[in-house]
Amino acid sequence: MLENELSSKLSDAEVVAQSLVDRSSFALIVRRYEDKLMRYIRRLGVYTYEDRQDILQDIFIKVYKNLNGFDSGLSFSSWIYRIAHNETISWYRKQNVRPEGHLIDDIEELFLYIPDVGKSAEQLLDATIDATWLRQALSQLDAKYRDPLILRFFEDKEYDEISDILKIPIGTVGTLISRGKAKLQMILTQNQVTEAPKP
Amino acid sequence: MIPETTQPNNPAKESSTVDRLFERIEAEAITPTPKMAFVASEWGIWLVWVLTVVFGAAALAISGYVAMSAHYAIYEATHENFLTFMVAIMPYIWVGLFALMTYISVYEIKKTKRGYRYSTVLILGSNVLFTILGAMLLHCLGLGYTLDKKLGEQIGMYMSLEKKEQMMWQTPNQGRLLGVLEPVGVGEGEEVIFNFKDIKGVLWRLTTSELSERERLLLGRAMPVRLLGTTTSEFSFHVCGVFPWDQGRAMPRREMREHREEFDAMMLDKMEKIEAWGREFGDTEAQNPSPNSLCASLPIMKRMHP
Repeated sequence: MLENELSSKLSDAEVVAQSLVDRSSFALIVRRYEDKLMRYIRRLGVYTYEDRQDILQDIFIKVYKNLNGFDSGLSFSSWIYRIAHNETISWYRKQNVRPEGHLIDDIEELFLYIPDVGKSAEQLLDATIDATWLRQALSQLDAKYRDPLILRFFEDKEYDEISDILKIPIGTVGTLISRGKAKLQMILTQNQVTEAPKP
Repeated sequence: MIPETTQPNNPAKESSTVDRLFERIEAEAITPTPKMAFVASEWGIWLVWVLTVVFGAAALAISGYVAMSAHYAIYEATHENFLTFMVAIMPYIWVGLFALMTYISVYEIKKTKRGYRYSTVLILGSNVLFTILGAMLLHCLGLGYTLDKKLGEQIGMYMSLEKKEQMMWQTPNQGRLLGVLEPVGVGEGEEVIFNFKDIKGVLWRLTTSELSERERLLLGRAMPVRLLGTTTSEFSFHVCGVFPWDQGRAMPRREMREHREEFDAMMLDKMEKIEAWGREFGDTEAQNPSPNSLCASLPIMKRMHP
């Protein structure tokens, strides 16, 4: 119990250093990031739970193998997200399919962005329609815009973290997010004009 | 809707993920890659970068040497216009190598731990700056000329500036000759006749009646020179201009301009003489100039004064 409390106070970088000495400490990394990475992988469009589990395991194996390569100048979170992103993209390549992110597939998350959630069945239906529209729009968006948008608005990452995760300059992150939002808005408008989505 | 498989209702999820992970680590005997491997990889990238900058600088130094040492002063002597002269003289292989090295060096920097943080323009700009500084250093040490010359000597197919200029100037049929004055000369009549040995070892009899005093002195130094003129008979060459061979030396722009102006003035003087001669004896004969004004009918005259 005391050991658990002490472990929880350690920073990620300290846990990494400890894991290199004592392998069992790596379990702490897994517990800290398992849920976050599972959500991130799903937002990148991997729908099947078993696939997500496989990818997650590959991510942690890669992290474990590369513990010595962790650059303490970076945040560990950015580093592990980078590996998660790359592994998910690799998984798509192996499957020979294009990623189709659907970051708001879990409707309850969308409700966080809509005030007075659950007041009426009518509002709930509207929210579902909005989520469907948004999902459709995002699936049409190029991955280079979608990835920064997911990290910024759904993983709450700062620009410098997104820069470290996607390995692009900070200025480019800002540009991609700004353009991505504009393109998303354009796609949403076009979709609303041309077709009504099926909830 | 997109079908999604959700997480099974398993309260022991966390421990099972950790357990399965450790089972796999155990089964596949996975261990963290040694730190040295990452350090070596990073150093390797930087080493490649340094090499690309060095090669890029060498390429630029040679390009610079070629650009600065080409004989622009009288480009009309060998080419129709300045553009065709530049096309012929341009060190394509080195410009290409410089571009390739710059591309690789930018790519290498991007591969370093923090390289992605900087924009391509910034990396490209700083790399080009490093390369230029390196090229300037090599140029000051005279390596641009040495590398070009040595490569020309060692590799038959490699066209050094010296080889290019030799090809352009050792063409007697087109009125250009490259060589050195033989130490023994014999005078005949009014004209002084010299034995001139070109780079192929052929001996030429030169007539120098239309040369200025400065040109005669230059010719008499028994140093390699390029001659501009016309063949009058087999192994006889009427000289209209003498220029130093000057390989391995970038001629200063001012010197080049003076050189050109002097040559131009001399040519104009010859043109005026033949025109006066034509007015005196009639157009028909003016079109068939006297031996004393052969220089005025050289193609270079038409190019310089169309």
